[in-house]
Amino acid sequence: MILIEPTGVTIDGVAQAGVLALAVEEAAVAPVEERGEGGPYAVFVDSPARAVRVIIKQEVIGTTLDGPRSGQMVDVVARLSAAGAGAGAKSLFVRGCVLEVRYDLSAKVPTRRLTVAAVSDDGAESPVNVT
Amino acid sequence: MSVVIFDGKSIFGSGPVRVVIEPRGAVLIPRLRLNQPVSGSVLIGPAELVVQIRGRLVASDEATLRGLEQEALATLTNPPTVSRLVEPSGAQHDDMTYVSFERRGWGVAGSARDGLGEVGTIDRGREVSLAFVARFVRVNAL
Repeated sequence: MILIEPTGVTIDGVAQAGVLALAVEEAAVAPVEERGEGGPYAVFVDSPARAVRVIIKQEVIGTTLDGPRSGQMVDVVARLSAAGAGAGAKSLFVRGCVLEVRYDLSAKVPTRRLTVAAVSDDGAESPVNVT
Repeated sequence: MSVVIFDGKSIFGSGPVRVVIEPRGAVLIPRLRLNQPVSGSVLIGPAELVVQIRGRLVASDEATLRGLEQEALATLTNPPTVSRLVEPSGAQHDDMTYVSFERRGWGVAGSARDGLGEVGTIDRGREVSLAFVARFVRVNAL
């Protein structure tokens, strides 16, 4: 899932300006890929351990002395509907732990890349909630 | 279908299995192990045929998976059952004794799963599954 120039992105309730993109990545941490006696190809593949990462790339506008820190738990909310908060608008909600806060100073406008590892309430439900 | 037949019954469901034949040949015991302070070994006879079934029980829910495991364990009788083992390929091994069933993590060589200490865990993904190793031995008569 990727949102290009999303509006209404907040982190712990603080509105985020200059968000260029918000992506939700999901990957198998330790995939199961089994082969049988029949031949060379996998006959069973599953993903019983998964990592979900929320990546927020935003332009840094002005000096910032605070912000998310690695290890901090945060609530990330983004509005999914391009029409704004009208009828049918949906929101993305992810609670997670900040893994990385990195800055790219090579661009004309510096950018910040925030990586959040999503946390599920019970391990079974997806940590990405769209309502 | 990857079905292993033992004693006329399918015992590990239809999940993927691999068949491993342990080394064949002679069994040697170093003389030192026999408290003989000399080099060399004593030949004590042919190695028993040992067949490992390395597989994965697969079910759509946890209760069904545990049922499959119970079926596999129920065949581990005392005294052990001695019968014919039929591999998924159709290869047959007569007079095999079903001696053990062990939950064990195993997977693609070099994958992150290897050696991670996830031995015996139930994997809960799209399906609920459990890797195992079962051993069958053709016990040499004395």
